[in-house]
Amino acid sequence: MSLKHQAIKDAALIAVLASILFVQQLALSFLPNIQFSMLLVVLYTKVLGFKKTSLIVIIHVMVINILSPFGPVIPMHIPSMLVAWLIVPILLTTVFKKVERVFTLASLGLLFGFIYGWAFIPVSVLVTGIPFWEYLYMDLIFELIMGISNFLTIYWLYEPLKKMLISQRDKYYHDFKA
Amino acid sequence: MKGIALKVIVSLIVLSIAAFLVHYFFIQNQASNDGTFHLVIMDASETIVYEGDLEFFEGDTFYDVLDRNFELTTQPPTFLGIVIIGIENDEFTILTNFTDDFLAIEVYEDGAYRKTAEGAVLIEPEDGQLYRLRVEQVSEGPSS
Repeated sequence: MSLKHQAIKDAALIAVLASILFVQQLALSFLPNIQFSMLLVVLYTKVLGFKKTSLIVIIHVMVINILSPFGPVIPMHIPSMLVAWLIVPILLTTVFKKVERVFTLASLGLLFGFIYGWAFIPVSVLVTGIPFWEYLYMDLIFELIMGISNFLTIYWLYEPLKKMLISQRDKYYHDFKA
Repeated sequence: MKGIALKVIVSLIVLSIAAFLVHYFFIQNQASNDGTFHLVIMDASETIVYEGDLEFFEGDTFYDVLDRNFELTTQPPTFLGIVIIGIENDEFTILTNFTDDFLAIEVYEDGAYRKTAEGAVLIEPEDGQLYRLRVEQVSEGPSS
């Protein structure tokens, strides 16, 4: 497969997976912080690697902020959101590269729920003037909900989805080669 | 089968811990004893339309006390409680639209009123405390 064809295949795959990420988040927007996004980002990172997942995350953050009625309250939250989501592939391909056990990944998902919330603190405190401790305290419950949602979705769905995605990925690239 | 049973048990433990923490967050917002607090309500022109002491009882939230003493207009219950957008009695009426303006809840601390980070349902009334409800324009930005 030539580099050009490989790039086309990659672009199509990234677009499809970013769409899945976007649609599920939009569909679940009425539930505060309950979503499959963390599961999908962890899954994409483990199956596709850092580069493709980062592109998916960048597309997702751009699209969710342009198209979603539940996008950021202020545009200055966009960098926070981008950093918050990019932390996942960065950590999973560096510090936690060797982590494969589903329970450990689910526990990291729980932790990411809090890290995601904390990523919004600098802008919220410095730009909107919300007091730091009050923000930290009031956001804890949402971080907890996101963390629990991350834990349960990764714990139950990561393994079957990983098998399916690997098989689809191999088939996708193999079919092209053939 | 054993793996699924383990997953169910772990999930139930995690959910129980989460439920306990969420419950803890809510239950501590109820008054632990009876008392009174002082309330000031200001309209959009910063005119005081109400000032007085309100009695509360053990188990009340700040919202419960307001609801007992005034007619409240609220947004539909959200995840973290109820948003008060209007308040009135026989002598005054305040109604915000929660888009251009809203009812800020403030508590008196260290010599000045400070906006609370919590909604009325999450505020635990404290005996002798001073509270203020004030119409704030969204464009006003953070209060000092």
